[in-house]
Amino acid sequence: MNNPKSRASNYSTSQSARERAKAEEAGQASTGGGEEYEISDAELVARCQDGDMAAFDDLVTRYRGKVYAMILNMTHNDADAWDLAQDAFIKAWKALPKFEARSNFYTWLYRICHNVTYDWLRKKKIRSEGAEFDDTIRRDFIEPAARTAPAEAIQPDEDAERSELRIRLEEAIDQLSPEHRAVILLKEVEGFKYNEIADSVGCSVGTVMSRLFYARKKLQELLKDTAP
Amino acid sequence: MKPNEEEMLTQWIDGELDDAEVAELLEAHPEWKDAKAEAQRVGNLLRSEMKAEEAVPYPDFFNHQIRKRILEEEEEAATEPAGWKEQAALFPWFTRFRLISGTAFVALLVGFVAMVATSPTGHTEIVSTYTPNPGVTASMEYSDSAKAMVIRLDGLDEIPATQEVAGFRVKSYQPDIDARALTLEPADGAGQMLVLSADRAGLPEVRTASR
Repeated sequence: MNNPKSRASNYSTSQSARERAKAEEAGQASTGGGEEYEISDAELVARCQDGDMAAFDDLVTRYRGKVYAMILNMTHNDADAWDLAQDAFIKAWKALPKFEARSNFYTWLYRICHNVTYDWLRKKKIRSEGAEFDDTIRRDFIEPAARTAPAEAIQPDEDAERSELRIRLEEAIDQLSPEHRAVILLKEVEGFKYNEIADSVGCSVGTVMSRLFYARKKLQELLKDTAP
Repeated sequence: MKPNEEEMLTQWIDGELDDAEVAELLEAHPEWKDAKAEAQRVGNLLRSEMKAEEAVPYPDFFNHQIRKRILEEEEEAATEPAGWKEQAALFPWFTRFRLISGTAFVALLVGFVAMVATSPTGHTEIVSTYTPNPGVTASMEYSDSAKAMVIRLDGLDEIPATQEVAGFRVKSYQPDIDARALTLEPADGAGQMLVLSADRAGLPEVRTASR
């Protein structure tokens, strides 16, 4: 395995990645796991471990939508999710030499995303259960330290149309601790199984079930008057 | 509720129990009969607004930034001197002298080059100096009152009292890693511009440019 300090030898983006990216932008979202792609995750990972950065670019293209969504659901801020998603992929590149092929790649990647997001939330001192809503967490607030903050402009009527229920949900999610927030989103939104959640957040299956219990209980109370 | 009961309720909500286990559970806890429906309602609410996958804004730029940062970090790791944690940029030091006349400033620049770093105590310290003119010597000490490192250069030619101090002004400053440059232009609009840049090792280069 190459020295991680000099693994980025191939700078170009492969043509296959560009084509998939165009399909992604046209709304043909991937289902993940590599089923509809010619090259499997395992093969791409092996190439990355040999320093093939074009292969890593393919992995980024394949999973950036899921990574971005997961972090966005946790942070509720486009610019922060953008930055943190990049941080997660960069950490993944650095950690790839240690990745063992028998593990599921996207579960491993989600673990990195979870850790990056968890550290960030902890630093922002998001309140845990029972605390008041943290009204500094707004979708339109841009973290001053954000390296880049590209965000597609949202039309005012679209923003108003989608915001009421979304805001209620985000307010409720924000009142969960990062630990409870992660498991409920991975279960209800990402559709992970218990063991996949446990691998992603670094706890036991029993702890996952217990956290789900409490997260659901709290959300039911907070959202009891909320209609879909 | 006991931890095991919490797990069983969670498993029931997620459809992980068989019919016999569900029957046993509800017989023991009839108050739970609406719990599954309520949990599913919350799950449906979350899924209605929060997606498992979202289109990343500016996706090509997103990938480009990741590649760029990886290459920059690997290049920085490969060129960083062993044992040093940081090197301060030279340009902030240069810009403090933008009010000094051009001639004296160039003399100062070519007469003294310093490598700076941040000490464990937090303040900038000069770790090495170089004076190409053997008649010029450099000494330094940290001033607690000024909270600054004071550099003394002995042996430079005196600046005539009649010489204007503010001879140059900053025209532009380019902080990019690959093309750092500070451009000074004469305040009176006459004469040559000075372009101060640094190579990738951080060593200064002085170039003049005709207007």
